[in-house]
Amino acid sequence: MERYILTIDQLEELYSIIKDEYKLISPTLKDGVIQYSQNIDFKDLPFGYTQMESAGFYTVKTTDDCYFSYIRPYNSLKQFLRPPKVNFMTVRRIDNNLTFEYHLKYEKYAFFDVRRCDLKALYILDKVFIENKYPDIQYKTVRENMFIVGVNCLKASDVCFCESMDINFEEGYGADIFITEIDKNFLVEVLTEKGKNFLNKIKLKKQQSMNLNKKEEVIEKFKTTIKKKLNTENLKDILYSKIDSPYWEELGKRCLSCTSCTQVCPTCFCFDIREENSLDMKVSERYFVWDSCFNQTFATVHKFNLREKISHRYRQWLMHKMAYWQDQFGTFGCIGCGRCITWCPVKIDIQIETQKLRDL
Amino acid sequence: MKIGVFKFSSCDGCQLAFFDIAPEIINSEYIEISYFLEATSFNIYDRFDVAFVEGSISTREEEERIKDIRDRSKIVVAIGACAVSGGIQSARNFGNFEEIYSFTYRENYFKDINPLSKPISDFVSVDYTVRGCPVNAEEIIEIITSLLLNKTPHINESPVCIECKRKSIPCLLVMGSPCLGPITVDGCGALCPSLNRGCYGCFGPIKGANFESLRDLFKERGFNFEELIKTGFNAYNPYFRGVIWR
Repeated sequence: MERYILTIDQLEELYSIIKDEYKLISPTLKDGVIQYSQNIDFKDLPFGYTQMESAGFYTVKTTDDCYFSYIRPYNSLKQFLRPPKVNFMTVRRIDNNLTFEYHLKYEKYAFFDVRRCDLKALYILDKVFIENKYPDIQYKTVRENMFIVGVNCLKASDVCFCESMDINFEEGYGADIFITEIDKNFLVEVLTEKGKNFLNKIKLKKQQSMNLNKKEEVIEKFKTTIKKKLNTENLKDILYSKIDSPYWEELGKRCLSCTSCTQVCPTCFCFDIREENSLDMKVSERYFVWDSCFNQTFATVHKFNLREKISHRYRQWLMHKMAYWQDQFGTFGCIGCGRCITWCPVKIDIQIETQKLRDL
Repeated sequence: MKIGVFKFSSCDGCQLAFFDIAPEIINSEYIEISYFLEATSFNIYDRFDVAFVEGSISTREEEERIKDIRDRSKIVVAIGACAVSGGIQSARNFGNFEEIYSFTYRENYFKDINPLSKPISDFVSVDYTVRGCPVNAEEIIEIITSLLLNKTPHINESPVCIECKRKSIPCLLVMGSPCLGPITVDGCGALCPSLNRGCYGCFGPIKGANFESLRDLFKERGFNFEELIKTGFNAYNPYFRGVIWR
C-alpha cells in the first residue's frame, strides 16, 4: 500500500483534481447543519466546526484544534446512491400496443470525506442491492462508477456508538483512498488503482518517513471519545425472546411514527413503487420512492394494516435493524452512526432502548 | 367519466387545481366535465360518476345540497381543508358563535348560518379525500386516472417529515421550532419547512397519529400545541375531535 503525507495545500490540490473528474459530493455547513452537498469548494468544507449532538438535539460550534473536527453529516450517501424519487420506466400506449422504456440515469459521483460508519453502510447496502439473485441495476451502476475518499474520525459525538456495531478500524470498506489527520497534516493511504492515479497527478514531495504508530494513536484516541456502548453479544436471540414484551407498548406511546429515523438511517432501503398516469391514458410513469415501515400504508395489505399500532411499527424497525437483518444479510442493519437518535424529535435512543430490551 | 365540481363554503382556490390541468382534461376522451360553475356557463345538474366537492358545510341550505349531490354521484371526493375538515371558517367552532357573528355581520344580515362549520363527511359518506390548502393537481389526476383504471388511488398518508428528509431539510423540531409535521399528511413538498418555518398542518392530521406524544413535546418546549392546530385550517377534523378536543 502506498502512503503519503500531505499538507493542507496538497489536500486542496487533490480535492480539486477529484472535482474536475467527478460530480463531487462533500460535507458543508448549510441550513445550520453539516450535510453532504454537491459542488462544494474546498474552502467551504466545514473545517473547524463540530456538531454537538444528543437525542433530539443538534447544534454546531467552532473548534480550532484540527481540520476534520466534525463527525458524519446529517444526510447519508443513500441520498445520492438511491435518490428519494427516481423515474425508472415509462410505459406508452400507441394504437393499443404498449411500449416499455427503461431509464438508467446515473451520475459519476465522488464522495470526499466518508466516515467509517457510512462506509460500513455502503457495505451493507451492497449486500441488499447487489449481492443477491436480482441486483438493482440503478444502484449497481452508480456504485461501480463512484470514487470514495474515506476519513478517520477524530472525536465522537454523544450519539456515536460505531465501535459496538462491528465497525472494523483496519478495514477500508471499499474506499479508494483513506485520510487520517495527524498533527494538522494528512496521512493518505492509497487502496485502489483509481486512488493511485489521482495521487500520481499531484506534486508530492518525496515520501516523508513516518511513524505509522501515529495513525494507531489517532484511532485509539478517537475510540476513547465514544461514550455509548451497546452489548451486542448474542443480541439477536435475546431480542427474539423479547418479541412479546409489554415494553414495546411503552415505546409506542412515545414514538410519533414520523419516519425520521428510517429516512436519516444510511441503511434503511425500503422503497415503494408508484405509478403516475396521464389523463389521456396514453403514458404511465413508474417511480421508486423512499418509503418507511412507519408509514400506515407500508404494511397495509388489502386495506388491512398488519401493523396498526405504532408500537408494532417501532418493534418492526428496531427488530429489523438489530435482529432480522442478521438472518437476511448476515450483519446488523445498524452501524451506530446515531443519526436516528439525533433526529428523533421525541428523543428515542435506539442504543438505550435496545440495551433496555436486552436487560429486561 | 362524467365529472361534477362543486363549491360550498370556501375560497374557490382548490377548484383552481382543475385549471392547472385544463388542457389535459379537455383533450382526454375519457373525461366529461358536466357541471363546474367556476369554469363554464354550460352546466347539466344530473347524475355524476365523480363529484369533487370543495368547501365546508356552513348553512342549512348547504346541508341539503350536499345530500342531493351524494344521491346523484357514484363517487364523492372531498377536496381541500374546508371539505375535509371544516376549513379556516371552523375557527368559529372554538369561540362564542353569537359574539363572532355580531362582530362579523350586521344583525340578521345572514340568518341561515350554522354555528359550526363542518366537513362534508359529517353529513354524507365520502369515498376519497384530497388534502391541502389548496390541493395539488397531481392528486386530482391520481384520483381520476385510478378510477378510470378501476384501481384504488394512492392517497398520501405519510407525514410531512418524510418529505423533509427527502429534501435534506433539517428537522425543525430538533432545531428548536414548533412544527406539526409529524402528525400532518404530506403532499405539500414540505413547503413551509423548506423556508425554515414549522408546519402548521394545512394538509390536516394523519389518522391514528400520536397526537399525545407531540403535545407532550410542545409542552416541554413551551410551545402551544392547541393554538398552532387552530392556526391551521383543520382544527375541526374528525381525527382531532375526541382526542385533542374533548
